[in-house]
Amino acid sequence: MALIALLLLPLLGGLAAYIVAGKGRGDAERWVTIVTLAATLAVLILAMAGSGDGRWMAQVMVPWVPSLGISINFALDGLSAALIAIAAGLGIICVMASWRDIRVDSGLFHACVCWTIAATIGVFMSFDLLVFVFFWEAMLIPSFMLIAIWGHGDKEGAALKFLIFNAVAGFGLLAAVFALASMAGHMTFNAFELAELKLSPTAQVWLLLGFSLAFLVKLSVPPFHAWLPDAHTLAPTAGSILLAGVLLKTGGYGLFRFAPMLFPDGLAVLAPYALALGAAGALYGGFVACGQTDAKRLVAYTSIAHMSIVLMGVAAGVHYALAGAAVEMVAHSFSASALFMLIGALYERTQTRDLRQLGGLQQTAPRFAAAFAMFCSALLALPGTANFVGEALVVVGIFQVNWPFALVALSTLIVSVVYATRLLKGVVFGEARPRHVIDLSWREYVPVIVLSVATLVVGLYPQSLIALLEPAIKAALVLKLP
Amino acid sequence: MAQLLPFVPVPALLGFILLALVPLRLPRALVTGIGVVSAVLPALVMLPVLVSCVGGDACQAGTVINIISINVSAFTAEIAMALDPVSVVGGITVAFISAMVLIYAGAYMSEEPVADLRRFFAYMNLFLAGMLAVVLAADAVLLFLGWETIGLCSFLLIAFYTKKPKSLAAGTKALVTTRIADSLLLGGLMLLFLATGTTRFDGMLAKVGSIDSWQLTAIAALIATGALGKSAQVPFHTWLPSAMAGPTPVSALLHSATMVAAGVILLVRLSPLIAASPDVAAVVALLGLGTALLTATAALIQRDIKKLLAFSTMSQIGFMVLAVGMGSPAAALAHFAIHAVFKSLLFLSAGILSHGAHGSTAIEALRGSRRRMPLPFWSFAVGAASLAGLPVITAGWYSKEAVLAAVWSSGLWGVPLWALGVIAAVLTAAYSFRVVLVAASDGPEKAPAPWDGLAVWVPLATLATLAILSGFTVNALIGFAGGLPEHLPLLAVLLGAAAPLAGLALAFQFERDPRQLRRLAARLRHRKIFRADSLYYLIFVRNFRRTTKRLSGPIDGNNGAVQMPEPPLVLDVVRLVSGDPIGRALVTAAIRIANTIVARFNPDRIDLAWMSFARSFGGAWARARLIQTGRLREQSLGLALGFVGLLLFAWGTSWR
Amino acid sequence: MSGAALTGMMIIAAGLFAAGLFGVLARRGILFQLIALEVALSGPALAFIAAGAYHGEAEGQGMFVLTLTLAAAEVAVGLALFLRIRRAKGSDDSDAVSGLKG
Repeated sequence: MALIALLLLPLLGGLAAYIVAGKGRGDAERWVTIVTLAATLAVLILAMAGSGDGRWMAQVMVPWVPSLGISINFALDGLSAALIAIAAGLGIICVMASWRDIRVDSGLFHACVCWTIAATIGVFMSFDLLVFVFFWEAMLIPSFMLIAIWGHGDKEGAALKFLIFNAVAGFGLLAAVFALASMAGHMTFNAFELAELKLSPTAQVWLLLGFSLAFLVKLSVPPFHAWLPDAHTLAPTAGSILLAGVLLKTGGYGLFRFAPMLFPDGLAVLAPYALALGAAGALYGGFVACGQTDAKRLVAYTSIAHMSIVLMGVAAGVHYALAGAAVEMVAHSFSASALFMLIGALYERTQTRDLRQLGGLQQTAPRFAAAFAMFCSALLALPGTANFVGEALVVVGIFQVNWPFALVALSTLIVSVVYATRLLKGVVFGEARPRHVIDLSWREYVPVIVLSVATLVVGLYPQSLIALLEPAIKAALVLKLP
Repeated sequence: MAQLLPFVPVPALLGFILLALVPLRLPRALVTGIGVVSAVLPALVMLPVLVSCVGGDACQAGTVINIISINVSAFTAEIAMALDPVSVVGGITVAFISAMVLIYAGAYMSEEPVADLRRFFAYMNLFLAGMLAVVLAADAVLLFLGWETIGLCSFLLIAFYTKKPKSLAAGTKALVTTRIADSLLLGGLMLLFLATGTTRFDGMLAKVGSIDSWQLTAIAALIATGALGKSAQVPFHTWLPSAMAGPTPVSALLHSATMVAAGVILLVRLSPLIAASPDVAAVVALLGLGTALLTATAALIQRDIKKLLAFSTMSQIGFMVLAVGMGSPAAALAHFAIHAVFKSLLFLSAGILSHGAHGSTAIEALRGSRRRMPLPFWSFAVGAASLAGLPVITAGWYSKEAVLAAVWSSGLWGVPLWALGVIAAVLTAAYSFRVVLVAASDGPEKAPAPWDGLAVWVPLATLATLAILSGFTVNALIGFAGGLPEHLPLLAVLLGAAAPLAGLALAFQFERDPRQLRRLAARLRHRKIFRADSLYYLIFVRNFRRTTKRLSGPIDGNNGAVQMPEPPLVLDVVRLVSGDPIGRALVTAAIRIANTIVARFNPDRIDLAWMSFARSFGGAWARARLIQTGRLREQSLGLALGFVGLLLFAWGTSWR
Repeated sequence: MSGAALTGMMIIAAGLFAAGLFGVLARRGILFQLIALEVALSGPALAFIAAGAYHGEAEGQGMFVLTLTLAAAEVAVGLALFLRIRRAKGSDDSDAVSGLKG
């Protein structure tokens, strides 16, 4: 029951925000959204605290179309809970970040934010594959609107690119899901039942490729990443936060959850290629990031690099690597969202994101500078931040499987220093341009503090997070070490 | 007593938190007070620990204090600190030197605006906490945590004068170079962890024998490379001279006494590992010796006092690395402690001397310091004597002799390497005394008012005294650290004693006839055609690439975000590396590689490929439009052809 | 009627249709295209008659009458269109009416 509420709350909350915005004073819809998302978090904590059966914290199973095997099948475990919490939390941060920014059609804006979060919650919870695909595609519409209506620059083009890439990739997922569903004796979309099927490795490989296409495009691993830089750069601040912090993780979540569960042999076959793809992608993303002059675009390319590392972690398939991939997903949500929020706040004040025209925040706005320094340290994976824990665990895991790729993964640490210092120098150091920048207000500073604390807590005491994710990690362990 | 160890870094960490994170406006006195007190307290906390170790074997065994355990079901990592000779010697050195330097800094930086002062003390305290973590750590996780923290603080402190692009470039160069080494170190530590199953150093070292030799060599090589990078040895030596762009206390603390010696501390801690792979040990020793010679030569021809001291630091650390490679970590540890004392003394006095020369750091500007500011001059002289290793009376001699003795008695290659070491000692004495002689000679009398007060004199006096007196503790130190003092034949001892005197003579010669030095410098810098060549090539190549990129116009590929390709590294970096042909070559090669690879990626080629694919649909559509002529006859033709096709299809399906 | 005769009739019918189709494709004048269409229509008409004779059923002839009616209707509409086009475009060139050009 709680799980259905988790889904319905943001949905209805978005509708409420849309309605409320029409009448009433300026900020009613923002408060409605915040309250809705806070309620979602509360329900989530309730669901987590409830009695589970060890593997799952909460489960809902309601048949929907029995003749076709479709059911409402939600299940919550540590990984889903963590990601849903991040989704709701980042939603609140989105609202706070766009308090002054979004003035036109703000009811629809907040509705889109809520509906995106609702769709991602559906993705994180569904274990009926058709419902999963439904939510997967449903994520696209509100986020498309977020970019196309409230973005900057060539926003329609960027939104269209985002939509086409992800929708076309979604066809691969859809085809694979239907093929898989019809392979059982009677048609069923229940992932648990389908996991029992013993398919031939060839079939598994093909189906996994279909699934992976959608996941890799969403995860933005090169060469499928091309939608991300434009979408992230030209989206409004809230859009970028949701894209980087939540939507990218749905791809990682899909790979993490369904690939080992449904296609263990296929994964074993494709793992080396995935590892290579991830390695190439991490280096590629890092290199391109080093050459960027637009701050948001730089962070977008670093997201590509970090998500490629998540792919490497999932592909390696050993305990450390999986733990690292999961932690990296969470850590990246924190740092990327924080950076996008900060850059958005800077853009509000200076109307530019060009690193060559910014600088000197150290003198004009020390709080801003400190926040940037904190999250640039997270970007370069400083030990003590959650990002380091994630990446280090992934590298340790890869060392167990294939040491040349581990060395490549280590070299991404070197590249990360170059782009992190590039961002830091472009924004914080140097001559003060423009001369006066209003420092962060409390509304902007509180999310920064929350995200910094989260990063440091996970970085210095990782078992707080890893213990939560443990059942999911164990379930994803299919590769046997030689 | 061991229970006190985890509390040693705590005051510094609290100082950082207070200064950096508390959003209240603090007055100058409070900022300075917090900054200095947080740096002095660790030394005070460390004292009881030291006292408990002196006299008695309480610390030999090495008790380990667990701080927290990290349980990630598959493995347990214990964050722990160890109370053993390395941590005691290292800890007290770091804590004490930091206390001295920060007391001095309270006066030196007093003219900075409050905000910058606050930032300075915050970073220095964070650095101190990190460095203590590195020195006291008994497990790889805490060590690496501290390691990276000091790297980051080094960047932030080198780039302290954020308005100067030179400082930023120097800081970036330091950070990137050490990061390259750090990632190799991380790889080595990970492999060691996977091979031994534990992150605790004592556990790892106990199992060293059970790792197969190929993997052991790889691990030792990776870890040694990481250590060498942090310690600015060849080939990672290019960042230290340019790191002198930071304020003098930063150079005194980080880049002479503590951070750059972190590599040595790591090697000393892991010396059983290095000893277990003789190839790696040999390479490490040779690199150390090579660095010692090369940088001592470079120091001879320097014209800037801070850069000279930077090269000198690299040279002395080369000695320490040589000792570790030769299998005598105790001698290295002793030299580390003594070196920290006299090097920080040299930097602190150099700071005052250059203040007396109106802020110029050129050696020539120091002329006449003997009469202008006698006390700083004499403390500088004491430091220089200790650096040179004047026999018997200075501490430097004892520790350097210990190192050279270890080299002599280390087997077949001992004597030739010892001879090279002695040559390096001669050069050391030459460059250090040269500065003293320049400063002693006549020059302008007037000086701006020096900083006064206890904050300046106490550190100088203390360090000067130690630089002379602590020589007698060297043997005890070595014994404490588990080494055996070596006994050399008398001839070797005498030659070793003669070396600094020979250097002194050489310095006199250079001072009397500066042209000789200039000729030498010119011949060494003659390889500047190297530099001119690379500069020229870079300028030419870089502009060429820029032009071609502009011509090929990748701009339209990116929706709305206009990208101007820009090389990521600043060219100034090359100019910063002076008097050092190997360094220059490395830097220019790195810049060239970076430009080739990064510049090629800058317009995101995959994105451009996708967009041209998308545009090809537009092109196909344009071509397909041509079929639609709107004419009746062509439509009928289409109809007819389609009909024929269908008939054929139907006929074909009727085959089976 | 025998099978060979039917085949022959079908071939003639196909030939008539092809001739008519060729006429539509080859001639530019709308009137000539209409005449060619008539010829083409006669092809299936002949095919119906032949099939009806072969099977001995009367439906063939019924379909022929239907075809005649269709032809008449089509000619009426076609001639009306032809007059309209001639007035609008000023010529009877079927290529002139290419408003649906892509």
